[in-house]
Amino acid sequence: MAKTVVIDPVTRIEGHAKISIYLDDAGEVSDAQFHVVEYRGFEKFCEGRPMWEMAGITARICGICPVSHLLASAKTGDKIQAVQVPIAGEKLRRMMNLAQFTQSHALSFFHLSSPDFLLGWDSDPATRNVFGLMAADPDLARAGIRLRQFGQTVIELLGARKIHAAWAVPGGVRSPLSEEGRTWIRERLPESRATLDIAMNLFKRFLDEFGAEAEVFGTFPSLFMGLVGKNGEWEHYGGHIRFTDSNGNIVADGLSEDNYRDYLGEAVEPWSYLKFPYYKPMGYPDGIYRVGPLARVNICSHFGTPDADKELREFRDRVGGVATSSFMYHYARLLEILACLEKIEELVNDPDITSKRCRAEAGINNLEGVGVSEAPRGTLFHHYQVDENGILKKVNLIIATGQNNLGMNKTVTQIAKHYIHSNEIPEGMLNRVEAGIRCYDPCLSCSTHAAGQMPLHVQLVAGDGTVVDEVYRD
Amino acid sequence: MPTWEKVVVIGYGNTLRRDDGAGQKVAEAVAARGWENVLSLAVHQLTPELAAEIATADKAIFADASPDAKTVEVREIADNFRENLPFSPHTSDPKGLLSLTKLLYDKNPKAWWVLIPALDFEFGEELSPVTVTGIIDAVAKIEQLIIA
Repeated sequence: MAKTVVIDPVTRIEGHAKISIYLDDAGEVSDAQFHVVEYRGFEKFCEGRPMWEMAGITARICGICPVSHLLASAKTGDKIQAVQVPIAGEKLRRMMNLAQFTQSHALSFFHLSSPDFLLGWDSDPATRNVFGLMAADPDLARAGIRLRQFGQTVIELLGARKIHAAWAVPGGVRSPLSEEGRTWIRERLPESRATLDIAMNLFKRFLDEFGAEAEVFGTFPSLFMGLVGKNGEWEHYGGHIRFTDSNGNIVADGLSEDNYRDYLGEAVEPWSYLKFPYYKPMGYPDGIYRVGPLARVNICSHFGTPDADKELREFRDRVGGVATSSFMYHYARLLEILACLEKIEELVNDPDITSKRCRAEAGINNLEGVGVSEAPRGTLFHHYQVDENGILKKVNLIIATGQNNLGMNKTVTQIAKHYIHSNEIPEGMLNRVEAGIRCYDPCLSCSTHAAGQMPLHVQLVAGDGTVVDEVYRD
Repeated sequence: MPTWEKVVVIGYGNTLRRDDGAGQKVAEAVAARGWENVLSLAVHQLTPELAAEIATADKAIFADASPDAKTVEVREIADNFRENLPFSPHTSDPKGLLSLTKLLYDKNPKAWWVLIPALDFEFGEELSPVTVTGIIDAVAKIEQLIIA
């Protein structure tokens, strides 16, 4: 009798989700589906609004990565206004994005995922969380908070608010970094570097011990997509789109965001509100690709900063060139924090960063524009169509979590197939399925926080719809 | 010199989900009062680093939208420590954050949860009349908590 295992919701990710695992008559896993049950209505909500409001509106989609939408929106506005952003404006936008990566990756690593590393996947889920982490290593927990604060404060110094700063606008940014801000960043950088070093060493020790098991966490061939610079270097703001395969071969390069519809398709499945983007030339679902830290690290030739490049060489030695395990998202996140801190250090000493010539002004000169930027979770596209007055007629947002949708489903299926071989659901398997999803650090935000909170609910449903077993996790 | 102790007010919610943004509106209104020794923060979610701010305060006041509240409710969070609560920015509550504060910084401020009536959580920025009234009432009640 076929059965369905439902895990609802996945804890410690942004938003709500549900996982169904389908068993065949022999009790073996036949398939798994990662459902996203929240409807993202922002695209419709934005239509009819002035284009200039988009940066502020989209930045309020989520409290965790508001800067990503802010920058993608501002870059789309640049295209519609047909302006060239002054060099100071671009450097300031870059600094904010680097700070955004730092704070978001710190939250993911220290507070959402490190309990898995420090406490183990077989530990009691009641304590396998940030409280358990604090009990195990309170200094690390405090340091993680300080690192996230560093990124948040850099954002605040630039945009006057930690989140939702409508500071990046079409044409540039509203204001430069102050001298006081520059001093603060310089003073706090060494502490942030030290914290990152501790985290890096911790993760490597974990990898030495559990690396073999980590291979189960979404190891499969796929394409990787992201931005790279003109020399193939790691990029987070400008550059062009590149696709590589699991062997490191460049599949497509020099792609412009303007033509994203030529190479990105968006499939729809009836069981999820989240779209399933794929690489169009390979079709659906063969055109599966991953975005985010792992993809960026895989597609780039180098970071361009000394310590991050040294760590990147060790990373590639460890994974054998190209990392195909999604578990390595965590490792890639740490590499990116390191690169971000080094690049912030470069920028904070750049004289342009305090220049008041940071914004170009213009009216509506194009009726359509596509902007792209790297968010912590992956490549983010904004596509607007406006009328002569800049009123939005159509909005399309391609978000990072959506682009990893196929990858997340494949990861869940792989983990479930590895651990489920009967009608019994071992606790450790549930922990691992959740941990597999957390590798991607998915952001499903758009839910209200005041409603819809539920305990973890695991349900075994027979083929005839009968619930044969249930497990609740408060 | 203010006559009250140091206070942190944290209003949280999603301002693009109509009444869900009530907590942030309250925090912004409190910040606009400019009360000395009062730090008022309007945030989307309760994230771990807020524990560091709470640790500096003698009183912590949380403002949030509630679909269950009929009028503004002020609940004292007396037993504000528990160690078996999964922490997530989307599923955390003031007790979780206060527990973090206690564990990480060994601080245990007096705390209250101010709940504002909320009806409509659809996409949008307009607030229900009952929520608008509730925001005004909540700010008044928070003022009483501050000066008490």
